[in-house]
Amino acid sequence: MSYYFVVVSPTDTPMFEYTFGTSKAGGSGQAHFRNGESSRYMNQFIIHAAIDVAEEVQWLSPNMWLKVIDHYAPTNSHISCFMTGTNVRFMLLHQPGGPPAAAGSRTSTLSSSSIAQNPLSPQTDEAIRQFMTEVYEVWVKTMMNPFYKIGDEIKSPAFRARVAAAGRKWL
Amino acid sequence: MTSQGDGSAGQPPTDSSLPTLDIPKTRSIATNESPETSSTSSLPLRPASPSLLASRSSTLSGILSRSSSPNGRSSLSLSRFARSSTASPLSNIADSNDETRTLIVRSFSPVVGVLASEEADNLAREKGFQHGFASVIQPYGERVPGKVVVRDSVGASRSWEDFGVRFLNLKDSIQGQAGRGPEILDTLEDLVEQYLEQHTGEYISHGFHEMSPYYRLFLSRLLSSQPPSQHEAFSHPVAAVITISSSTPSPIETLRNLYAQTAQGGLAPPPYANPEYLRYYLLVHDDDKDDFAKSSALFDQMKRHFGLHCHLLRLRSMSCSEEDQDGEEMPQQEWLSASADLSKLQETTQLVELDAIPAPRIFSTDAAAIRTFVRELVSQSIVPYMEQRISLWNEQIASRRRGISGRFMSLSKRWGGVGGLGLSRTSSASNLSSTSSSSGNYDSLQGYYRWDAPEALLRKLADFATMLRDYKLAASTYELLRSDYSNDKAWRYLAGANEMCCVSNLLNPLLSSSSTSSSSSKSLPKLETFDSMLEASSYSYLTRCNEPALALRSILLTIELLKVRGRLASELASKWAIRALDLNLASQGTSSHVLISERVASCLAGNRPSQSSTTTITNHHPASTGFSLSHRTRHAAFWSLTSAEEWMKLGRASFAAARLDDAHELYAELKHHEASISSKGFKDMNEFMDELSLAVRMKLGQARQRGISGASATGNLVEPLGADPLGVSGEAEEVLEEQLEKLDGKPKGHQRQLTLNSNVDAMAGPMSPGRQRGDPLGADDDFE
Repeated sequence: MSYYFVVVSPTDTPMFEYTFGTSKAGGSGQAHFRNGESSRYMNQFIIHAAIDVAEEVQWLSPNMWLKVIDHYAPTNSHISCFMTGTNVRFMLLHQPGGPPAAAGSRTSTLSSSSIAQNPLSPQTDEAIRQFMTEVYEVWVKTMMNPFYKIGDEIKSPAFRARVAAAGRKWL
Repeated sequence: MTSQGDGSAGQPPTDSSLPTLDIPKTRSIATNESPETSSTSSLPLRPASPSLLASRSSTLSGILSRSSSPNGRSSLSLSRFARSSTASPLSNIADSNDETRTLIVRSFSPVVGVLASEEADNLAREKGFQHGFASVIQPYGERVPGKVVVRDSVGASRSWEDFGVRFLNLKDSIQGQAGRGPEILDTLEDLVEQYLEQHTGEYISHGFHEMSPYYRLFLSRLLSSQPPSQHEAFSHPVAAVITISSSTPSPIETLRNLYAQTAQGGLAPPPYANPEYLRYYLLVHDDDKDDFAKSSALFDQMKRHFGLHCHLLRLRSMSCSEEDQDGEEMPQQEWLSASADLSKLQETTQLVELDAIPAPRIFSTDAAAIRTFVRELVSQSIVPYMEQRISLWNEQIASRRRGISGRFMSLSKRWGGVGGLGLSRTSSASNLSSTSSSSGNYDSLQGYYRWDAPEALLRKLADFATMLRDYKLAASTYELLRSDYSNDKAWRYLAGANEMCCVSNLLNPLLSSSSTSSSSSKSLPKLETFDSMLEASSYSYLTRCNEPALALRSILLTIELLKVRGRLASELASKWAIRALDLNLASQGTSSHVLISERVASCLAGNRPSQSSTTTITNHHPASTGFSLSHRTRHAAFWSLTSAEEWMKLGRASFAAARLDDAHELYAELKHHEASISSKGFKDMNEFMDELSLAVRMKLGQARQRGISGASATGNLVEPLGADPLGVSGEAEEVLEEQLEKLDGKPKGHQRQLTLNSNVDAMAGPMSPGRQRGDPLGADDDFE
């Protein structure tokens, strides 16, 4: 499973981008998108397209956690979205598969393998929700930084490290 | 769009995309004036002889331009100009929807087999039609002149202007042409390639709502190239025209022999096709050679022997040459199967090379006679025959099945086996001969129902109703059949019933008016129903029957019909279009694949709100429904871009440019597009778009250089360049370098950017040095 996480500002610009792979089931934490090199811009396109759906779904659900909102079939990418009160959107693109894990990693539990393989299972959903919630906490703290101007790109290395940690922990 | 890091410059991206917009337009105007018609201004587009070009462009324009005038067959000279009307912005949404609908409606037209005696075929050959008598009347059947009145099952009459029948050689319609499943798709692909090939560089503009003429071609050929199959009666003959000519030695005997052939001889239909179709007897009188009094007497004799279904057709046996004043060109045949069209294309290409282009011509009197014959055949024989069959079967089989006892019967059949079966057998019709199998009427070994099984007759009833455009009856009958087929595990039949159930429900005009609003109407089945029916049909076609062409047909038909039924429906349509790509029904890297991705974009773009409503409403609280806000503009733009990129990979820069413009236009509709799609926003995305448009422009410029050699530097008004072509190329090269540098991530100043934009037209001039740099860019853009 490979992930691409973006924080999208209310004016549809990315404030923070982070690409990573799963750390469960012996994953190296490196992203292996199946569309290879082109995934760099393709993921942005897919996320950008999914804003359409986010704009629609946000009015239909009372929750901040909007679950999987979109699916891009050609690369089998799913997009989950978490919406903050100020219309900042946390978008996570997750793509199952990639190269199979190393042969020795048979010890993984059932639940973690289902996260890696099935993007629509309740376990995956729950894991992403936990991830989003954690990122949200960190994000709120970053926003409170007096040196941060609202709407700017988030450059704080601490924020990046915390997001990476959350990714390792839940995904 | 060329990127500009400096957001405060406020250079709207539409500005920079304007030059690309210009390019195809000027081109298409230039090519519209084909060398024959224009006097001076046309320039050679490619190194070919003018006659070759003219004849080819007229073939294509004849086929493509018919899209713009579905209601009247325009003459060829008109249709050559009709292409420009395809590009006109005046054509509105409703028109193009109707057009798609018309195409689909007309594709379900009755098939009439033609069985001609030796002498009749010879007469056709004398007239210059190598493929026998059927090919003489074929083009005239597609649109029956005048209105055809059809009475539906409840007795209401409706008249149709565009009713048509398809004449086929009886042999073909019984035994089927070669080519199944995957082969059809390959042939189609070849065909589209051929048409694209003939029009390299030329771009026919169409908006999001209009159908690309090439897609239209693809769809109509797909619809008309299905070989006869056991599971649907569309390709089984509804009638046969048994033809003799006045020179046939023993006319009545010959007619009897020919009839016998259709009944039990070599041309007897297979056991799944109904052999009880209408026989129509045609006497062709040779006006040039034979005595009319004699033929008239013979015709009277025919009428005595064979009843009312007879006609006397007076034709001249001489071939009509260019010089004859009273001749006219044959109308072009619209419904050809892909393979037939392909072979025809190759034939013309060969003839063109021999420098002899015989446009098929026919005497006006002959044409009038044939039109009268077709009209009489359809309105006095075929339609009444079909109406009568429908009411008969409806009464005998369908209504019993529909009633409460019918439910019981199908239950008892399911549970009780033989007893229930006997009941249904006796209740249906006395003329049904019994089949031997005891476990139902489906022969699972051979995979068909015998033609006289109630299930097969019901299917035939539904197909007849579809052909006569009584979609309500058709839909309810297909509905009935779905459960029957699924009980019998007749997969192919099941897939067909599901497919046609979708199509006939969606074609039903009574439901369409209420369901065009955002919520789908009550009378129309829920969207989930269509989803599951389509799922069932495509799965059965593809996995159980290995018929990708049929699967593609079912998906494309439903997409086209769903697309216009409100937002949710068109979202479903786009989902299925993507699904069709996903199922590999059109393989990656082929033009049909691109055509379908264009369709995805069009489905998604179809129901975005108008510009004003987005800007006003989104600022406030959402409308109470919450639906009016939703749109798929970004998705549509994304898919436009995808198809642009795929066209580019296929080397069709002008198509790519058009799709790219679409994408820019769509992105420009977004509220935050300036911030979002720039080097400050989604960086990589922006970069990719720039690379793509640069590659497209370079390729276009190159094509231009080959075609119009430097004469194109006219649009450059902002910064006039020297007339010296070398100067132009030098400048263009410099500009290119700048742009490439910028793509490497070194943003330049605002001033330079402006120069760049104003020079885009100059870039379209000669600029060979750009090529080496441009191509790797195009090749590296790997989408998947």
